[in-house]
Amino acid sequence: MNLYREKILEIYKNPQHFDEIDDFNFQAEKENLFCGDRLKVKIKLKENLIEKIAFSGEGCVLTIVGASAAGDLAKGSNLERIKKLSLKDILKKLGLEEILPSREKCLTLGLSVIKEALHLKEN
Amino acid sequence: MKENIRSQFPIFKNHPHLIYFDSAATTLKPRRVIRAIVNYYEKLGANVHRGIYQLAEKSTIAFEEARQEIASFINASPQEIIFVRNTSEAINLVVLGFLEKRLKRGDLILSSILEHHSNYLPYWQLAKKKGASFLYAPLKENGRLDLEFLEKNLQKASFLAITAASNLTGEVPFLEEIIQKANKLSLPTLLDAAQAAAHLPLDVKKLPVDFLAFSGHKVYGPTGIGILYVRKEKQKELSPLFFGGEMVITVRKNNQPVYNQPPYYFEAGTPAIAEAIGLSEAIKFIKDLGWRTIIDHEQKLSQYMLEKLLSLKEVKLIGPKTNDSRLAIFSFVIEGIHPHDLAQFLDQYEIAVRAGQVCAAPAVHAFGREAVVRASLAIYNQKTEIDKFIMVLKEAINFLKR
Repeated sequence: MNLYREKILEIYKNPQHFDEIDDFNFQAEKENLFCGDRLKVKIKLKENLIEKIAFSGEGCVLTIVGASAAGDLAKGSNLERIKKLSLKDILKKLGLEEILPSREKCLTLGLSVIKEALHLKEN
Repeated sequence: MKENIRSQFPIFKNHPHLIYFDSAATTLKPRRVIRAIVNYYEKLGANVHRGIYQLAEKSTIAFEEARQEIASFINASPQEIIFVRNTSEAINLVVLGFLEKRLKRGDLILSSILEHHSNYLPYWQLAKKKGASFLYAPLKENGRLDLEFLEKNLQKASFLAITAASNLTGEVPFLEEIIQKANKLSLPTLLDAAQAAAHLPLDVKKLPVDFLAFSGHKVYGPTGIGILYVRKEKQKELSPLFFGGEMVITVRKNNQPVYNQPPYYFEAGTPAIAEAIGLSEAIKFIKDLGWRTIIDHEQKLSQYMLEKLLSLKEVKLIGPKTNDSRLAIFSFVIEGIHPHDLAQFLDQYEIAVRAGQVCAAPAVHAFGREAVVRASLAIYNQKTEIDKFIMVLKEAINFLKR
């Protein structure tokens, strides 16, 4: 499996939802204890829907593209839908079939910090 | 000759294109080591130090010959070699069985910032409990340890724990004078030889430490076995951590048992017999190659790798930039590429390296980094593998750099 295919690197170099917003009502920060990568998220929730979402932080290719995909999936979604999102959805969104178990935490750090910000339990 | 060494490692039969640059994590195993282990199970099979029958005698002889072989490897006597699971267990035995009863509030443990977690955490736990603290030799500008710091602080210290070679930078610190001075001050000393043992000769007469530890799996031997050398005069100050079979001679209900002599006193339970025999075979493998051949080959690889890495302006090498007093271990970062991405990119070309904090987080942090990529070489590696590695590294720089 060639993980670092062009499409993935394109997202890595220009990820979605990595910007600053002042208008937010939820935020959280989370670290991948395995490598020290850290992501922060700010979310504007309006009538149970994610209206705005913005990440900041540094990370490996998988952390960044995973967060970009999680942002895509989360934006416009309601809490019920976000609660159900998992690694599978991130993989599907990125067109990846599989990932080494040791890298799963990278790919899901973005999703995980979104859930933490919204006080949703990890599934 | 070198191709001949590679062919002695069956893993390359199953992975002919594998470039294994992770020998600091564990070395691969030569066929003769694997054979020796299988041989014990197929031809001896019995437990040691027990049965009166022939197979049991033969098992015991093979096991004790292994101890003899390992002892002569570091110029010790067999009575000074205690079999343990690995270096971590060896150091824990020293910390809990020796240092525990000596360390007092306010005492200082002298060590270095380059230590592997296994030569750090056991003391840290004890120091916390006892109210003792640490003095770490820091790094110098050139990425090597400040050994003068050690020398200056010997007098204040209650214990000296130091690595024979860094698993992060490959540095081999020059310790002979420091150890001799420590001896004069009766300061107990421990040498973590886990990283050094496969790459340079160790001699407890020339480097007269009180304790020395290494693991089998890092010297071309099996996992699950390691040794703790305890200098004869220090053995009576060491208490066992475990009680049970093997370590006792006479047991009567409600009476004080009569315990066995060292090293058996410290080896409760059936030992890792096959692994001890495998480790002994690994040491014979090293002996048969000879230190001259090993050092010569690895130094040439190291010199070549160093030149190649230093020629890439994107590569920031951690630690010494010269080839003297070092092993062929290279940790580095490339700005703008995450170490995990680089490692996984290399993996796509069947190049195995380590990425992360390499079990030496304080050392990685001392170099101002969160994580590194580490390429560590051994006797089966070749120049052509370095060429391929550098080529892929260049490709990664083009491809991954943000």
